[in-house]
Amino acid sequence: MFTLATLLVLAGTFGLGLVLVEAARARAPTPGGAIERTGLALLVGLGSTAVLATALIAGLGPPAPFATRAALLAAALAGAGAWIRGARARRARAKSRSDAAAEGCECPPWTTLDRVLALALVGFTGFAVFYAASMPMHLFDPVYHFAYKGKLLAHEGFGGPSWTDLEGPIGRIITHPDYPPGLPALHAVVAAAGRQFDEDATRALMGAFAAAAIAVLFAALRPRGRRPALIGALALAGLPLLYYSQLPRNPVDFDKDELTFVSSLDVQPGEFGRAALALAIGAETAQRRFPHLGPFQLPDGWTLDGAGDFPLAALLLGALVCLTRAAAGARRAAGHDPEWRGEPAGGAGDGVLAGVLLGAAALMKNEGLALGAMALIVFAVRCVIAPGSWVRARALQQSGWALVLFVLAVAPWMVLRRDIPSIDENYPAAVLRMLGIGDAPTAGPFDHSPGSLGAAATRFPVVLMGFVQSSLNPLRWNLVWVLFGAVLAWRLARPRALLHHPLAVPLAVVVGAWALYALVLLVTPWDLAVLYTTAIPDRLLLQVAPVAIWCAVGLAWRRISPEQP
Amino acid sequence: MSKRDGPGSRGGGTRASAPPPRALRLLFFACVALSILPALFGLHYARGYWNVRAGKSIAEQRASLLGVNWFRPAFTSFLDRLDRTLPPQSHVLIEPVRAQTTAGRSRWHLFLNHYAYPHRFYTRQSAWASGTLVDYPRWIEHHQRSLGLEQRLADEAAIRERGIDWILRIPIGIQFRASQVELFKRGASGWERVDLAPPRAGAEGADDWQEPTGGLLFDSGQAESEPEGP
Repeated sequence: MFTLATLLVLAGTFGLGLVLVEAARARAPTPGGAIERTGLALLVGLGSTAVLATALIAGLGPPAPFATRAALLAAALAGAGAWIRGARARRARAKSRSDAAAEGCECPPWTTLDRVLALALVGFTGFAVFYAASMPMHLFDPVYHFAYKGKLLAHEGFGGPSWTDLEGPIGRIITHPDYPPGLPALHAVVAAAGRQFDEDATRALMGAFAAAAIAVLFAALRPRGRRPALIGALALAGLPLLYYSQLPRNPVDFDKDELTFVSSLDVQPGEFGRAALALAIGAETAQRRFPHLGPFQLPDGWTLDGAGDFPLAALLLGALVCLTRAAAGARRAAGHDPEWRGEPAGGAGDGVLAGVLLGAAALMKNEGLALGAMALIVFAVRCVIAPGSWVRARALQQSGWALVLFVLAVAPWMVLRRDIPSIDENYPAAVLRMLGIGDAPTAGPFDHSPGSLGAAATRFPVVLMGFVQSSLNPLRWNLVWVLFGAVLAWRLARPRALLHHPLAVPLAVVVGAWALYALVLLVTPWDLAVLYTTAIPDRLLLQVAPVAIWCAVGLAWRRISPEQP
Repeated sequence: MSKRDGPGSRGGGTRASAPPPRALRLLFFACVALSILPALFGLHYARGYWNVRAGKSIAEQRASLLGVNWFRPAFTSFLDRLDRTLPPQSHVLIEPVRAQTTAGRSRWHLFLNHYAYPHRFYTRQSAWASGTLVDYPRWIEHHQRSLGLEQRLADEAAIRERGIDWILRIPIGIQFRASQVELFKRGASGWERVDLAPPRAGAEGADDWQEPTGGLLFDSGQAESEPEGP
């Protein structure tokens, strides 16, 4: 629900984001358009608030209501000041040259199709905000993994027995105690701003993450043309998984045991039609009118209810957009490079923003730490193989800024985490066990983590089937992953050009994320057939879905540099 | 594609980029066109919101989500009675009893732990109680089969050390049976049974589970407004 606390937190975080984005882009060759700066400011504001709140609660204890409100108000005012100063500076620069031309954006007349796409985009974005703000938080993970920890941070802070008293014969109850505290910290800030804990007030912030990600994606694709930008942003805004994931009936029989799962594949051709009918006229009406076709049940959604997957996805997208801008700044300054000419270019400030966003992503869910590290490593490797020593030095300097901010953002949590027992899903230990380096797997009928590479190999078809079943399901993804695969296959015909493409780093992160998720599923202690009923691997793939859409559209619509005929 | 995009654009692009081959372009438009289903979901959701939840308090809105078992009156009424029975910030040991299932929706200890905060809840083998559904059956089994008198006596020191003065025994099932919950308080002669505070006026019927009578999670309210057939 939108409460006064929600609005105050939104104003404060947006203001903080504006201050940081305006400062970071003050000297950038291309400062970005209003949509990009607005979306990025929301992401940076929400992310840096999560980072700062985590650090402050770790050091000072639960947030004080008066200080929190004062800080949020000050940030909102500072943001307004930064916006005004930035607008004046941009007007002054515009007198000497056209920003639009500098961004490579040409503006042909709007066609009817463009208008329809734009209308749908605005409609979906508005619905995402309304949906997040109008539904009480009600799903297991958002409430018990994230909101409960927010309650602890709002009342007790870190480090007490609520976090650590788990290993004796008697202890406290807390699910996934070592999940990172970014979203719980936002819960605590909202609670302090409103003087009472209110998980539904924090849920409304999920709509801000959605709107910000859509805006950043649109802006990142805009240099390729208005229509590709509209298509890409609409592919994200209209993604079914944003709104529902628990489909009426799975097309695979999940009642079977894990090892017989693959042979249980049983596609239901009528499933799509049943779901479409339930969505179109309502489940109960469909059941009443067509009882012989049922059962009809409307799907329910995970991703905007307050779990960490979508905030992670939005922050990762923002970070990679900033990293790509930083790289483009170095390339552009170096001179001719046909693939990069016309790409929006940033400077060291974009490296800083990327570090903040990656750090915030790491505080949203455990996968964020691995994805953030992966993004920085891939970017650094890309810098090293870039042509020209000057470009290498400049790009490495920018990735250095990102690395420093990333480490600073996650450091408080890494220190706190040492005292929190890992009670259930310890994936690094499970990987070591699979490789025969660590302890033997826990005895008992419930732990399915493999104790050897051979055991993992028998699980591989089940993992593969999970990915195939998820990514090809139009009721969850439309055709996003089909498109990603098709565009990748098309561009792989020219691997050298792909390697030097501006989107090579985001592309590598998406592919690396799939490999990471496959590894996680190979070693998970869960029964995979049961795990798949909890919208896995969909929720994992969502973490890189916005980046995948960016890559698919960005690779499909190739930029035409001024030199090309 | 519109001719106004100009030569070189071949539809779908501006002069800033070259569009993909036709097959890929069709795939992109198919992807976007499939958004019609989320759009229909959005319309249905908005209609349900205005019919059922708009203008209501958060408690009433939660109660309208019939598929969420921790929002059912049997549980929310029990939370209120428990809160009025316990002193502020009590330390309570939860013991699962009479387990009928190990389904995720039967983990009432987790639901209590969140919604009855700031009362502090403890349990035996809390790592299993807090873990995933993989661990949950172990926790139930520990209480059903492994927990003998000897272990209970051994646990007493840890219970005293944590200032636990209350024990709550909860029957484990998907339906919450408030009338079967037992509350004990540490007294001079050991653990003594304590009655919960009575339900508030108007909530008497909410003590035990009632099956949903109509509608699912996103019921539009349309079914309730239409008369039932003969």
